[in-house]
Amino acid sequence: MELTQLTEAAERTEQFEPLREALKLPEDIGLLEGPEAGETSECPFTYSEAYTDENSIYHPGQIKGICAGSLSDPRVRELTGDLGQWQRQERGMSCAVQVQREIINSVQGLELTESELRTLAEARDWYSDETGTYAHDVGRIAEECFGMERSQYKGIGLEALMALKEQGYRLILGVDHHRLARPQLNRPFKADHAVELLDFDLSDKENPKVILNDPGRDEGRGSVYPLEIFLKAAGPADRAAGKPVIHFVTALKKEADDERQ
Amino acid sequence: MNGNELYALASESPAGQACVPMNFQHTAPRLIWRGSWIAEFWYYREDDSGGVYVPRYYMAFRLPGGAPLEMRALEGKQECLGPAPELAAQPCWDRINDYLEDCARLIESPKKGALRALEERWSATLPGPLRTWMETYQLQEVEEPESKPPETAVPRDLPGYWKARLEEALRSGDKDAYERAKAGYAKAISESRH
Repeated sequence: MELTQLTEAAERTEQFEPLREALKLPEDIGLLEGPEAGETSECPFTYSEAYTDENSIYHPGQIKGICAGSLSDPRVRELTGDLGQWQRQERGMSCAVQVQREIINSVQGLELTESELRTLAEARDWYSDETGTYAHDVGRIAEECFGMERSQYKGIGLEALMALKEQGYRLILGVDHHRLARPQLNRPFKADHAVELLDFDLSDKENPKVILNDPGRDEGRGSVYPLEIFLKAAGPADRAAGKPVIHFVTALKKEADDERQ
Repeated sequence: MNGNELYALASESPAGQACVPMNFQHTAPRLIWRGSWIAEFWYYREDDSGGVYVPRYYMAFRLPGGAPLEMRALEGKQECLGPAPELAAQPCWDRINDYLEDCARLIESPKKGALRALEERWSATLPGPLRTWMETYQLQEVEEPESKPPETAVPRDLPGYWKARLEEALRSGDKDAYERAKAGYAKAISESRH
């Protein structure tokens, strides 16, 4: 049965299990009823609350539920598929490989392991356990081994980033993981970690949010950050222009897939 | 050039991004005077707890333009073991930010007499274990800038840097990178013989 049929069936019968299985959704993310036919939902997700622990580490919210009816939206379906693929990176430096694994599996319908991709990448000098991945090599596994279209951007604005997402690209960002974990600190920017930007949640105009798959945290699946914190971690502020700068983006797309199906 | 731009030279300049993998953090720059200012950076990675630092690369840039002078892979160096990262606290970052701004000011209007004090302040910006490691393994390799200031900046191992890029390009089969590295190597060899 097609995913759209499963979605309709879930709406009618409240039988979510086949849909959950098809999406490879983990048990800690619920499929929720609604919106009803004809209704629209501003936000198709529910989140847990963000908090800061006793060590001053910021723990973002996390997606805990998806409205089944929203899965008729290809963008929500795409995000849900990527949530199902999230895994913790297996090595200290393997974030860029793990994020590519999520995307390749989600887009191509494969079930590759990080270990398999590390082997591929090590043989081509795109990754090593000792040094990780060079920024210019991020996405090369997806491009050169799995035929995905790849482009990289440096120092782009938020509008350009959102436009890439609108165009259906899967986005890998270089972020400063210290700034994600301790957003209250005023420290110089250094991108040292790769995450996947799943989508923006602009349903609350006063509090826009960004949803990430972060392979570097135990609870990194569907992490929900306030836009302000995300921007601080995604690039140094351009004081002259008074605008945030997204430091480094790798955009991936299934080749010849110009329009979302 | 402000303090942030000086810091970003290590990670956001084309040379910094091309030469060092993304997962590495770097120190605040140490300024040295060799007829012109040079900023030296050491790159390290942390383990998950932040308690183990593994220094791996060194890069030097000429200031204020930021032209890369030298890159070295620090092979075979031991890890620096230490307690939880002191850099997690804002006072440490205030110190680093102040230091960076002072460096930027000094670059704009050089006063060599301030170098020794600056060196001490630079040292104070390092995570403790890394500082210990650098005192043991690195500081002795670098000449005291005030005791013997050379008139011109001399890259220490530019041919070595380009040779490493050449070998990388050969391994990867990247023709463009190979041509760039070949030209760089030939130029560096030629200049090193003058």
